[in-house]
Amino acid sequence: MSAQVKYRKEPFRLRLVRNIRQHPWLYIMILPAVAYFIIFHYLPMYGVVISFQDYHPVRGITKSPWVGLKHFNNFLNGPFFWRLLRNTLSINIGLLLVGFPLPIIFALMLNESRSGPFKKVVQTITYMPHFVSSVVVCGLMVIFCRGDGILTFILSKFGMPQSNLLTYKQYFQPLYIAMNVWQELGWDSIIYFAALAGVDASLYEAAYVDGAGRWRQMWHITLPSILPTIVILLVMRVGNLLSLGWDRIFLLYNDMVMETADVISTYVYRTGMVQMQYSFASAVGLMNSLVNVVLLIGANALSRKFTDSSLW
Amino acid sequence: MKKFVALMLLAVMLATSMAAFAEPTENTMPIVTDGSVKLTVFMSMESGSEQAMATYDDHPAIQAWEEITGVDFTFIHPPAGDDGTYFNTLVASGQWPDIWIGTGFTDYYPGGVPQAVNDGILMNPNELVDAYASNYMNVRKSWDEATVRNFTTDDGLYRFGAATQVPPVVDKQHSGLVIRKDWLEKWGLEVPVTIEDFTNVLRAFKEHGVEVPFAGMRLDNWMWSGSNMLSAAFGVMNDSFQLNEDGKTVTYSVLEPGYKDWLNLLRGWMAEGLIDRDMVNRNDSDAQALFTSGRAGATFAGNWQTQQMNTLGQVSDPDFDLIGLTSLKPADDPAFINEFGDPIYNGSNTMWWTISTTCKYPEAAMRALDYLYSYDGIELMVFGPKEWKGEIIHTTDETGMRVFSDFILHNPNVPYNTIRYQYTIQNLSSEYCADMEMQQYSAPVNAQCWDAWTKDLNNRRRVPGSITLTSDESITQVNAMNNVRTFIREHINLIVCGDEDIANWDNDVQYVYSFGINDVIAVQQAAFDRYLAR
Repeated sequence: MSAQVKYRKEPFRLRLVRNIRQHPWLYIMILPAVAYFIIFHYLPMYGVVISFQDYHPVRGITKSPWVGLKHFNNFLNGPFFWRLLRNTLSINIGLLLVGFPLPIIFALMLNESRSGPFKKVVQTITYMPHFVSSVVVCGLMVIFCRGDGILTFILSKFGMPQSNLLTYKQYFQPLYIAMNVWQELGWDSIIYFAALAGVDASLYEAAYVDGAGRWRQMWHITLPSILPTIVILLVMRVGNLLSLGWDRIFLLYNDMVMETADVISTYVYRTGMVQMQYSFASAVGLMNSLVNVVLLIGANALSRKFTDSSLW
Repeated sequence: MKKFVALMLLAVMLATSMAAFAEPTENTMPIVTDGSVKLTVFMSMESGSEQAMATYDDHPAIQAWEEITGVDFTFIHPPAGDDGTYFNTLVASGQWPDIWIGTGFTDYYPGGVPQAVNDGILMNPNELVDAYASNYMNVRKSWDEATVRNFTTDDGLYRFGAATQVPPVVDKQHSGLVIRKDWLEKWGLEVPVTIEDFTNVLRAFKEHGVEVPFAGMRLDNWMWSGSNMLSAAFGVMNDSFQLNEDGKTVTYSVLEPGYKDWLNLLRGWMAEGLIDRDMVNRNDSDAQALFTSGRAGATFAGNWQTQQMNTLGQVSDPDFDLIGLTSLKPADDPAFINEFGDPIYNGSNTMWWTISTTCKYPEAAMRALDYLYSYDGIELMVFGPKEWKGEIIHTTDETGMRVFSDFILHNPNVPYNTIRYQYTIQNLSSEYCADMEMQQYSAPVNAQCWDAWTKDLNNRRRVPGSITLTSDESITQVNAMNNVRTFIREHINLIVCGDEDIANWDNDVQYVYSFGINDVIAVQQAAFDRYLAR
């Protein structure tokens, strides 16, 4: 007991001061990043109070009337709530099931290739789509999926109808997911390439001496080495299950496919930004973020329990 | 409370009508000579100008306007194709421009300009007009009572900035159905008169290998409801509020029994391949491109486009020739008249020129805008400066009519419809100048379309565009219509495309009631009654 008291850590403040004295330049270098987060991410947070008001831009936060949970109730009891929730979740889960393992498999496959130039060319080509603007990618998609589009022509050979594919509600989500995976596959795999580069080569040599083939090496050395990276990325993905960018869906959807395409963010865009219902939009946004935080904490806890890696 | 509001309204109306007797002193230019007045202006750019300049600061007509008034203007433009998001953000930011040009408050701000005046965003236009706008008051004095009513809001505000319309455009229907006349003749078909005729013509087109006989566009595209030339035969507008037969009661077209028949017609066309699924996300210019490229036989168009469509069409097919159709009739009613048309009348323009309460120089702002109501000011914005950088832009011919020079009309490098907007600005034209309109609509196709479209058509059952909602009414309407529109547009499209059984329609209509459509109809009715009582 007395030993513990003797070696008790110094208070955080004292340690911080000492640490700053020891590494002043490191702290100066991180300052802009800290300032960025405070100014652009923490200070604006006071704005969430408008989700409990009938906010009017001219009256401002101080003079807008308080309405409690009205906007939350309106959204939860609104006619489209379940549909929006279902679509947001199912598109995100689809993206997770298809879009998460593919970059890993892709990175592992390419890692096995012995030809350096081939690897570089393939890598460059696959991550190029990432740099194309969503507007352009979605514009291409809309044209390819028209009645006379190339994608419609190809897919009609496999039994799909030869008319505008984006007007069939059963095809919207698969098409959306395919487009996203195509665009982000190469980019998402970069982090795995980095992790793969860090695997100790002597492990492979030892395994080779022990008689392990390439499959065995991949299974027992490569995968375990990049597992922490995979888990961290997975936890972060799960934490975003309820958020989905509105822009690409907005650019692709039409009245015919609302049943499967309308998601929370597009609905918020239509009501909040276009119709000036800022309070309603922030209420939905706030609710969305709270659920995401819960998901993130849950996923992290599970990950800590079952693997050794976690975000914190 | 109601009594109090009514009294207040009365007081405001009395005050404003009395104020109308105040005479502004004559507005002489320049307003200042020392360059001390700088004003920011929010307005969208016309696409023809966008191709040549980044901002209206570089526009010849603006530079001439600055020189005449002595005021220094700086422009803020929303991105092209803005859906109101940019405007809303600008209003919410509190960093307002001095002058707002456009329809933003009418389209996006609950309660429109009158409410923005009450909320302290905009200055009361009447006070400024009465004090400084002599040119505008001269124009206003020349109007009859009905026109004055169209240029006044329910609470008596002058709709300052709404362009006045003059012959030849007044009382004409400006958009409607067009069809390939050369194909009708080639295949021995009569010009269709009834819905049934029209369907048969489309069928004949299909048999002769036309890819998409009727180039449709998104069902919420304004072209459908701009004339309602197809749906009127079923007694409905295409997804809009409309008046009952009595011309007094407001209703929502979707709820009318005729709407199901209208959907059934489109559904039949879709099943026969007379329209195509691509129309679900096609806009009007895409549809017209399909038409002019010879892949479609009929579509909707505006008369400002018909000349150019003929020119474009003749590139791929020298015989290309379009004609306008008269509203299609039900087979059993030869005396049918389309009462859902939208012939232009003086005061139907929804433009506003308004000044923010934060503007430091309201007098200069109003006088600069008022200049655009003078003869020279109208000429400047409609025809551009007389001369610019050594090029003649417009001249006056021997009959006294102002005409564009060859540099604008027959420029070898830039098409007329692009280059004219690099010297003129429509949103700052206070009048649809007769000289200009007669030239713009000089081709035989324009005359034919006007005649055909305007025949057997009026706007008796259309809710007038200049009704105004109060802030509370707007909020009621926006909240309910959000859900109604999301729901009904989805189901209209599903039914037309055959993905939903038409037997479900009655059920869909019941949902519309559950979203509170009756409250919105009541709001529209109240606004319409106020309009009648103006």
